[in-house]
Amino acid sequence: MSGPEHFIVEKVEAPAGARILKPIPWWVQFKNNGMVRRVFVVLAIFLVWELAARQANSPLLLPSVGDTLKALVASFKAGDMGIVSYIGESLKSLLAGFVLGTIIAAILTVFAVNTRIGEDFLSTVTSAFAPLPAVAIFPLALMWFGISWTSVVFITTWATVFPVAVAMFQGFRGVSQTLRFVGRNFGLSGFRHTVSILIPAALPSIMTGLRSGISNAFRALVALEMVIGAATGAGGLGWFVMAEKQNLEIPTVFAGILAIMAVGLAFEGLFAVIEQRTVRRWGMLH
Amino acid sequence: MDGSGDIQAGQPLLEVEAATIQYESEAAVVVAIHQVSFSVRKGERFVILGRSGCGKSTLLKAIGGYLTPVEGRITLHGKPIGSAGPDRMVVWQDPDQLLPWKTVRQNVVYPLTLTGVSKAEANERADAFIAMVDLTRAADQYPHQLSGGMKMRVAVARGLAMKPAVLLMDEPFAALDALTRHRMQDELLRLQAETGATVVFVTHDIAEACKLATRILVLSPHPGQVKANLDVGRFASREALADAVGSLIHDAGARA
Ligand SMILES: Nc1ncnc2c1ncn2[C@@H]1O[C@H](COP(=O)(O)OP(=O)(O)O)[C@@H](O)[C@H]1O
Ligand SMILES: [Mg+2]
Repeated sequence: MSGPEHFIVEKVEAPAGARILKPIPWWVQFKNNGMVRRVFVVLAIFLVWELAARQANSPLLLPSVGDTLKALVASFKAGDMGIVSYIGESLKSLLAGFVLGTIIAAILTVFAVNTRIGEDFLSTVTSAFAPLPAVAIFPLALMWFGISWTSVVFITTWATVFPVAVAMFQGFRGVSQTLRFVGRNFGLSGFRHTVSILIPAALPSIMTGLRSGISNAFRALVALEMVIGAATGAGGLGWFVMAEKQNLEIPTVFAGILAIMAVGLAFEGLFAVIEQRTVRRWGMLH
Repeated sequence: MDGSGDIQAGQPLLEVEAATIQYESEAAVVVAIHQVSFSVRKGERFVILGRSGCGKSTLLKAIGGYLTPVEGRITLHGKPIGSAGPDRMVVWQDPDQLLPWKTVRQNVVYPLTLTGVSKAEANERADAFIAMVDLTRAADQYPHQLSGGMKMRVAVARGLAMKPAVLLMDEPFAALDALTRHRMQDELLRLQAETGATVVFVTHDIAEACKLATRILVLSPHPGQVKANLDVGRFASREALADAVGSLIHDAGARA
């Protein structure tokens, strides 16, 4: 048997002995590289910032890029008192809430997928709470759990649950009847069908949900830490920024903000890598 | 497999007895299949032919165990069929019936391991069937890297590798271009001859039915009923068969 569909082109390479007539200039190759463009944008922002700082000449309002980076490095080296321990505190609160929130979202999804009342509950609750920022329920947390780490985790959990549950539910709903039938054809049912067929088939949506869940939780967390960081003893990056502002360590304030952005980007990057190795590799997401 | 040894080639393997199948919604009850009976013998290529909408997929899903008849019964090896399972592997019309997160080989190996076949044996059997559908070079590719025809061949390999009592196929080649479709038909005939598999094949294409079948069940629509049950061997030529089938289908359509 032969036919055009037997040729699988994995990668187009110049055949041996081929002569390149018109090479692609280095600056065009550069321009077409997304990573390069992003680095360029960041450098441009730093440049504008530096120029503005020099113009303003007021280190208390706008420190220079150099001072900020110096403050960042100094704080990294400061050990227990420095930014690293604050990052650690934030990550602890974030991950605790994220894991707990994901578990609750999974349970909600199981009910929504299997029962009509569960579906009604999920869709009503998510649309009702959608306009409400997670920090807005902080007064309730304060009432129930006082100023404590529990309150912080309550908020990060809350911020995780709804985006994750909605995306998971939509993901399961979107699994084609064909794939469901294929799973049953293999003799799978119930829990094994869910784990072996539905979850992987819904993975693109699940990943999207986890991604927005963690960023929602992180935003809520930083805002919350600014309000109560010191009081809970949990500190965190939000509190780090506020405290340094009170100490008038303005370059360190800017360094803290950069660190908050870096943590957010790190999670984005982590998810991008996971997606690249799973759903993108399998052609389930383009 | 229990009981399968008792059934000689030519003995009824799958029997559908006066099956009526309907869809119920809040608004209405649709009778898709009405009082349909037939039996399929071991090693047959049994084709169910009818216009679209006449209930072919419904009937196949009932045999597969995805729908339950409201009346009548379906037996395999003389026993009522249970829920869906690997003794009735299905090749669906949808090319996206492979698990996208598994490679071609893993797609064939996975259901084998679920039925208790050892890992080594599953790998060996998968490779043999992948070779049979001429996809050895694509064995480590993911489904999204394959053409529609290649995906279908994997689905056929996956079905046959399970050595099901009967392989159910629902218009598997309808979505393919004409050239690929003809090649797939030839290939199916070859594979069926090599494996001796029993195949129930659904199609709306008269030429396809005449080319593949050892027996053709012609359905008439609204509701789906048996119009004729033809033993292909009794016809002098494929042309005579095609003529007979053509006029039956025409009648069936006109009456509805
Ligand atoms: N899920 C369903 N709910 C209600 N009616 C359906 C459903 N699936 C099919 N039908 C109806 O049943 C009849 C037979 O459909 P089907 O078995 O898919 O036909 P075929 O495969 O021969 O094209 C059609 O009239 C179709 O509209
Ligand atoms: Mg159909």
